[in-house]
Amino acid sequence: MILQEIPGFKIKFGKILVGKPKVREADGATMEITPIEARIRELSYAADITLEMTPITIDERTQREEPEETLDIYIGKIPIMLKSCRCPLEHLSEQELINRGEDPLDPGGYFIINGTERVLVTQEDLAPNRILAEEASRSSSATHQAKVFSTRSGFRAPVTIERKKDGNLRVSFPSVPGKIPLAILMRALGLHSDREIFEAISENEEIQKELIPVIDVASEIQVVKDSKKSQQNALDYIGKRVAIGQTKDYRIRRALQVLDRYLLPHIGNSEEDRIKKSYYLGQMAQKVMELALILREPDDKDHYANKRLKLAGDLFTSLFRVAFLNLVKDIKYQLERTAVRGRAPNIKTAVRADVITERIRHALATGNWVGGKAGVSQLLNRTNHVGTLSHLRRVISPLSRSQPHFEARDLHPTQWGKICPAETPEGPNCGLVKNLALSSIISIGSDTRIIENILFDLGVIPINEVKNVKGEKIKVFLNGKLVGIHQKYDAFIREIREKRRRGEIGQYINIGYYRDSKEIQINCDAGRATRPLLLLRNMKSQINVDYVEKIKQGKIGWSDFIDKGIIEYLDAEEEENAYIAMFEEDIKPEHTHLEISPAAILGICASIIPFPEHNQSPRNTYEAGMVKQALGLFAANMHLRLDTRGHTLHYPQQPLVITSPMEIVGFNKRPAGQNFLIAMMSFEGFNIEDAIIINKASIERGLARSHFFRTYDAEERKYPGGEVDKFEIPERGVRGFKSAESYRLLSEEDGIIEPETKVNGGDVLIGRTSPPRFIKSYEEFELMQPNRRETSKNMRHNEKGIVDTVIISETVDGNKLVKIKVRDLRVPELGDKFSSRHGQKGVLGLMVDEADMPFTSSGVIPDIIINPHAMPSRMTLGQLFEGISGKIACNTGKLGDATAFEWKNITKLQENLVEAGFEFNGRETMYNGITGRKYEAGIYCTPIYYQKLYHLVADKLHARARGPVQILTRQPTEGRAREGGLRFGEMERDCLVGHGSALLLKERLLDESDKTIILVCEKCGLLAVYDRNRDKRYCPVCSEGTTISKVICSYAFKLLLQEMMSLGLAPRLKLKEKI
Amino acid sequence: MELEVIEKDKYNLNLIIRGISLEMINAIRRIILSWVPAMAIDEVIILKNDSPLYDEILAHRIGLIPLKTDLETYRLPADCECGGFGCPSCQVSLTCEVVNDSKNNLIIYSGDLKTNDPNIVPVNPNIPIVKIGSGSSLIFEAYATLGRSRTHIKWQPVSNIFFRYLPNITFESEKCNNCPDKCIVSRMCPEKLYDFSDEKIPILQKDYWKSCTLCNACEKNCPEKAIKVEGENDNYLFFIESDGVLPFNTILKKAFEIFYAIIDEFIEKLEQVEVKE
Repeated sequence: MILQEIPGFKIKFGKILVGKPKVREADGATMEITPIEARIRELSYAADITLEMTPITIDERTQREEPEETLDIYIGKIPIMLKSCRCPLEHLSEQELINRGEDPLDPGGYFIINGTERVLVTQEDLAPNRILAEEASRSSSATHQAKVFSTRSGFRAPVTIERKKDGNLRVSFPSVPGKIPLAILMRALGLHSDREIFEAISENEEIQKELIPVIDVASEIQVVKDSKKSQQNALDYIGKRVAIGQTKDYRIRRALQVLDRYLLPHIGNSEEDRIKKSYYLGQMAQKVMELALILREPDDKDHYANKRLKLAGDLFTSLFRVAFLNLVKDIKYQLERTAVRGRAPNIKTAVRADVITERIRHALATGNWVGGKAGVSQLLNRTNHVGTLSHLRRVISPLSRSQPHFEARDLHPTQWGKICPAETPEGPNCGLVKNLALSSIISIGSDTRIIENILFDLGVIPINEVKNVKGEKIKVFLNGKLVGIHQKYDAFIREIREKRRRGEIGQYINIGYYRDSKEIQINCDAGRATRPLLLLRNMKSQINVDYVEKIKQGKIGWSDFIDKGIIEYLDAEEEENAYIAMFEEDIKPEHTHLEISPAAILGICASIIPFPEHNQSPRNTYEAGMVKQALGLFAANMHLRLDTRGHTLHYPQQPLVITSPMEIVGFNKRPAGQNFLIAMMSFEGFNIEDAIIINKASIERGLARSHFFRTYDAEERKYPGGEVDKFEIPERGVRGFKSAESYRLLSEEDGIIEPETKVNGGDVLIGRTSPPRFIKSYEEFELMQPNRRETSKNMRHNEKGIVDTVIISETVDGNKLVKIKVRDLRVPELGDKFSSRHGQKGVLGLMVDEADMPFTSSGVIPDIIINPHAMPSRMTLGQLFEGISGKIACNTGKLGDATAFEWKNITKLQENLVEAGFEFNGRETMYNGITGRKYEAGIYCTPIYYQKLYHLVADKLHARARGPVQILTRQPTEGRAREGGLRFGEMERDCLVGHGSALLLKERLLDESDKTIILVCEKCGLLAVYDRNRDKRYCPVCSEGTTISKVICSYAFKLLLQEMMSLGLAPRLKLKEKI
Repeated sequence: MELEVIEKDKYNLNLIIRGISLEMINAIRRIILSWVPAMAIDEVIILKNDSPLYDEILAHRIGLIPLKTDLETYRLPADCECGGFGCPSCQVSLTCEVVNDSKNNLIIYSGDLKTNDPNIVPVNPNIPIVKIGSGSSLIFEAYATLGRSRTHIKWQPVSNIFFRYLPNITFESEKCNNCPDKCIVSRMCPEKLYDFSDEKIPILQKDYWKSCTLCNACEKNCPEKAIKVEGENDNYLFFIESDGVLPFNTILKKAFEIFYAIIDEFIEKLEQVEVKE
């Protein structure tokens, strides 16, 4: 890269280097950091980027270039993804990770910015550089259109060809206002005759017939038998639109420039590419015409072959490009400044590293990406391990939430195996936020030029040689770009596929053949969702017993199967040509591939559900949403972590009924739930409407106990003027001093609370004083210094706990940083939320003494009692099967397997239950614990895995008698966090009005809200004032002497009066004696 | 009333009680479950805790350790002369001081608790409390008191107590017309109480009453309705399972003592009531 500078000087850019994650301390020392240090100290886990720069001086007379010494210059910091190839954690063993304070099962794949973990969420986008033909919307003037998002290094230029109702074809592309007739554009690009235009579009006579009006429009620029002149005219036609009122010469130059830069930039931006662009436009036109003449179907926008996923790398590329261009601009500016001052240019001082660092840091910290996208970077979900993994595999579609987009939200058949069919949020984001399926892998791009050459070697005839070829012509596209034609597609396709299987070309190259339109689409670009499949040869997969043994011994792994061509990745396009057998026993001669496991179509969260195929589908969606709220063991290094808030379950258990993906996902090692023994029956009516009755003894034995954590932090900030914050017990006289009593918990030494101290709402955790906010200009010899302010950190209201950890450290700026983690025990209580793994949520309705609980004839007392009404309408049979499987597991000691689609004969499960010594339907004979009577009916009583969800009553319970008011309106504040009042709303007011209870109404709305007394001048009716110094009331308008009266009203009304006065109105109150 | 012991060992007492009403047997069950006192640690003062478990969790675990109970020497704190403040007649102090100076992790068991009354010791010394790392230590003092399981489950004197009807299965062989296939009934019984020797006619095992749960699987599945399952009225199987906190005799004796005390109190109160003529 070369940067042209001020005369006589330029800089050559060389290689760019990324180092290890480091921090530059306040004292100037540079140290390597570990992720846990970054998390605790609120640092960014980022590495230095250095760029080789060579300053070159140019001799003014000889124009000879004199390169100086090449320098490695630090140009900024780039955040490092955890466990990526630049992260030192990548190759560490389990023990080494533990030594560094990491959870060995942490997946990595996120960034740490200012101490917070941030995910770059995968963005779904319409595939660039692919022609999509569709019927135009009814409201537009066109009938059909073809659209392509031509993208080249971050620049996106949509090009549209529309077929108007009169049969005309018009093109629109960026920077040219309006729409240009296709024929004129093609002429401008260098097609010489109408014949050439015809040929570029189609050889089909039917289509050519329809093209006459298209050619006709170009007649205005045509000069008979002078194609050169015609081209000039065509260019001028465009030039008149982009450079109005300039000379013709300039107009033509501008037109050429626009064509090169803004028309189909992915094809190229040089002169030679113009002819290619005209052929490409021809292709687009052909597609429109074919669609118009019903020779082809409209393209399906929601087909997953037409989608590309942008991962963190792509997102970083576009962000870095912008940041780097900013830096280059800045360097230029700095150098020019030094040059103007007449100093010798010095690149070291000209490079301001902050430009890149800040741009990237800001984008990651706020989620505002280049191109106006928001929410790209999100705070990593750490509720539980599954939630974290699911967050890392999330895919967001940028379509707007407000518009319906029904088709885009629907589950598309081509998403099979790539996107989880169950895991999507409910509500406005439904179907727009997706999650990758277990086996889904995003393709990595390979070099187009190499692939193109291979294609030519395999007999593809380049486009410019196509003219003379006779016989069958199958068009060959590479990444949506026409490269040529082939005549024997069958052998050609087979050969490419075999080459891929042999590993001669990349594993992510996919080829799809469209029989109807005689096209071959080859893709080697990045961002296609692919999935692995077993290849079938002679009705057999290539896996044999040998391999199975070797896998067990750990001798071979996944990549060996790819290398050997036993497993291959197919994208949505190639999958359309494949015939995939679901199970080995289904294989017929026509089958080309075999599914590895049908359970792999599900995503991370849906894989936790046992027997999902026996549930009503929305229940699986609900559960996929709810596992993310389940409390469990979110990270093994939770003692070291200082998350702002978090929960941990005390005795998390592995489910009795597992699915095979659970083991892979790591759910068994980081579980989120416990096996509850349930009885499905009614009990005193306390479990109606999905409530759950719980055995008090189970709670006392530790069932579903958890801890809640909150971290409070405070920093000793430095202010301009040498003033600093100080951690201390504030002295009497400091502004805002509470009372000596409130600071009793703090240490005398440093004003910080000690660990294991019991704290309640509002208690001071860190005592701190700050300098006064406005430093008044006070005399140097004045005795009174302005008072310092009290800025202590207090516990939140409504929260209590025990101080767990106190960490004192230092920020990058060298400020003292204190973080205090407070823990609170959460024993299940009335109103806490629980859920099974089948979207069956409920709140605790009653806690029953063990003696009152029903017991089975073998003395088993259930943990919870759920209502049988939860079953019939919701049809979550999976839950019943889970219970049965769990019961077998209890008696046999072997975990039940409930992997999706694995049980082909579910009645076998019931037979196994009888075998294990239970009734086939999971029922037990039970006795009433209160009366001792036997229940007539058998009661379904089985172990089912239950999750404690983070919606706990302790975090929600709220009531107030008196409390804070808003400053502006003097009405009570709103919300629990602000100790707010509970709104007495319109409907409640209507109720009191209806009852005629006027005094109560007045009390609620006035006395207990913002009652004030205002002074009103009886003469003019405007607000009067009270002068405290003279103890006199007077009207500022009528001056003294008028009668002033007190009026009781709402403070909001007083505000209204004043606001009206500020508008220049005179709201006068006419007072009358109260009768 | 007839009483027959089927099984009695340190941890299990299984009885057949004939001629007792349902209300009575359930009352006995409930009294044992929630009124009979037992010893458990109620207060823990943690002096040093380097373990990964928080003090609250640790205290909860320590509280659940079953202790051998002595009902003769100790009184419930509420009934004690000291008024529940804690004195030698209502409180036992236990201590634990473990310092792990080995290089490996160390598991602290219930056996590491030192008591000042040798009669009040953990029933089982092998109950793990917590695992601590090298160089860590755990020091705490604990106070055990008598209590009732109505307050907290840790004071429960038994680990399980329940009863069920003594079953009575009648087989009308004249109704059984020897189904052409194997008898489905014998297969459906979850407790496998039917012999498979003759596959056409279900043959009930002699001691079926020991395990029959009255699930009625046989009755429901017999196509000819030849089997009838019933619970014998006023005849019950009674099971008590203990973790060794108290011997069975003491438990039962105490239960009746409490029962009588309640009745006595009731009668006493009743006598005090003046009846208007």
